[in-house]
Amino acid sequence: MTVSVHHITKRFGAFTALDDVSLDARPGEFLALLGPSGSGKTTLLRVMAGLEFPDAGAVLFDHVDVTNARAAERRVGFVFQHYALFRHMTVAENIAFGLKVKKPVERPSPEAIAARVRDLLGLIQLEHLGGRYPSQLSGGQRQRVALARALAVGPRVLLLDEPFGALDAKVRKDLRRWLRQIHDETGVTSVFVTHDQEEALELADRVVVMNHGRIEQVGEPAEIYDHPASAFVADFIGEANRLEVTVRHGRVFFAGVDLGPADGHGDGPAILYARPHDFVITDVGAGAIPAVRRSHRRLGARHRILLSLGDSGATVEVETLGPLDDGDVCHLAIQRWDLFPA
Amino acid sequence: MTILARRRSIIPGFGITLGYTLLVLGLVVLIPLSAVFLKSAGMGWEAFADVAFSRRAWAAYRLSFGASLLAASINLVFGLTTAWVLVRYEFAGKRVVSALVDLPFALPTAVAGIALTALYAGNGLIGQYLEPWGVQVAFTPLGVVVALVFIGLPFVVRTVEPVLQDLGADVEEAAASLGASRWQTFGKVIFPAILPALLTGFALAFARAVGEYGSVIFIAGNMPLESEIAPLLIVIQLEQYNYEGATAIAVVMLVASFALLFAINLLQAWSRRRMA
Repeated sequence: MTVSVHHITKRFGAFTALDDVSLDARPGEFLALLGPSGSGKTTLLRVMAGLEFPDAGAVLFDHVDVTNARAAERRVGFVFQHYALFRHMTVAENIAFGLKVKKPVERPSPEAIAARVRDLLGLIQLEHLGGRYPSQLSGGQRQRVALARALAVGPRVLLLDEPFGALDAKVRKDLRRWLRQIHDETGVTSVFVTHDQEEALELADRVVVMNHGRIEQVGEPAEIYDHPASAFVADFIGEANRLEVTVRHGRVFFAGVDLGPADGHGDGPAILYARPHDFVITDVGAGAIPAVRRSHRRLGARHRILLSLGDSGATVEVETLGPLDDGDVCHLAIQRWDLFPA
Repeated sequence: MTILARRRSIIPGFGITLGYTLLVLGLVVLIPLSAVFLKSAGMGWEAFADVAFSRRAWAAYRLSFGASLLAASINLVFGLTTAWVLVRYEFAGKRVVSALVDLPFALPTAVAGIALTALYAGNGLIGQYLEPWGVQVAFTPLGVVVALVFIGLPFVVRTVEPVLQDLGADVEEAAASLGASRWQTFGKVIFPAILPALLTGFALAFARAVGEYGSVIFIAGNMPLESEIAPLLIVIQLEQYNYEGATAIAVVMLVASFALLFAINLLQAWSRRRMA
């Protein structure tokens, strides 16, 4: 199902959580809403679910306006960061809840409900835990139960609010692969909110980067990473070194060094973003910035080397660059960068 | 060596705290209560039954326990609503309302009794509008209930409030997103979760109401067989220097109260077990 939001604005008092946001989630798509806290991503998800109502704009499910429909009428599956399981019900009762509260005419028979619960317990690999209470489960198990509960009613769209936010690193990695697998099996349009870019880039078909209640960029993970549409995206996604540069006569200059063509960027001050792996050691020559190695740190298998550039006072973090010691002098060239107005 | 072998805990003094607890419990609760039993035991069964099971005493028990149960039940609904409003909504003067809820805790009960009597008497601020409808509050058993509702309210509000707070809005939102109506959400999700706390509040309000004296004697009118509460009967016995008679009524109240509170406790344990 297509979920569309058109020109949504939502204010909480003086704070504007969403500022004229428009977005389409395509049928069967796995869409990530990514942004720092306060960027409006959770509010947007809640507007889609009918848990929050916009001040302006419309929400459409398959081109049908549902803006004023309550959550109970929208047939969405919603998964909360802190599970929101019903503590006084067993796992099986939790999963069956959405079916049991249906109107008598639409409600499946008790046998059909039991069968559906069994299927879902199988799907979340907790067949033997149907009789347990949520308090007897681990965080990862609880979130799987929450997902099964949301899927039980056959939702038209699955909305997940930081579904792995409360779990530890190992569990969240396992669980997100598993979630992707569930998505591919059920094929239900899914939108999930996260502030973890790694999660968004690994899991989603498309990523929506949000900041200050606005959408900065929508695109496939690789596109977002390789071609950030704004300085915010370049800075927020992945690691990036930020350098203040000047554009003169269509060329980019940093500390007097000509780095290359500015690709149509107007003359004046500009901000250059370059990834750690976009730097290479080079000989003295065109585009070579003199640098001094300052320190080194390890992130598991990866290395990061901190260098100061010439006498500009700027520092960059780059991937490991061969045999250098702290204090050694070398020259760096930047192979790829993104340029934004200052 | 034995000291080292003991189970270590970061909280010190299990022995001293338990000992102190038992000492105070003994001095303040157990010894006075057993004295009541001992004193009444000295009077013989016939004399005991004469005072404790007279027609007037039966009427007083019925009023005391009946009005207390009714008041606690009213507070169950009223207190839950109040707690709900205090937890779920932001409004101007919320702190004032919250402070007002505690007032019955602090106010001398005689003051409450006099104030309520003045309000609900036939010529009182509220009573004058009830009188034409044939509703008499002051100097009737209804007045007793009103006074007991007043003193019991904070117990329900303050026990339910933290549990509601803890329940979180996301559970309700989860129920709504699964298609539950508001009533289904309340009946199947919220109510079972707060039931143990509601029962605790009910038990506290009930226990407080059974023992209440100060506020009730002003509004009740204290007509024998009609609007006379059991604690008043005890005082009347005392005023006649019939100490055994006073303890006899006290024993009946003690046993009945204990039985009721114990039953509520069992109910609570059952509902808590369902919460796992």
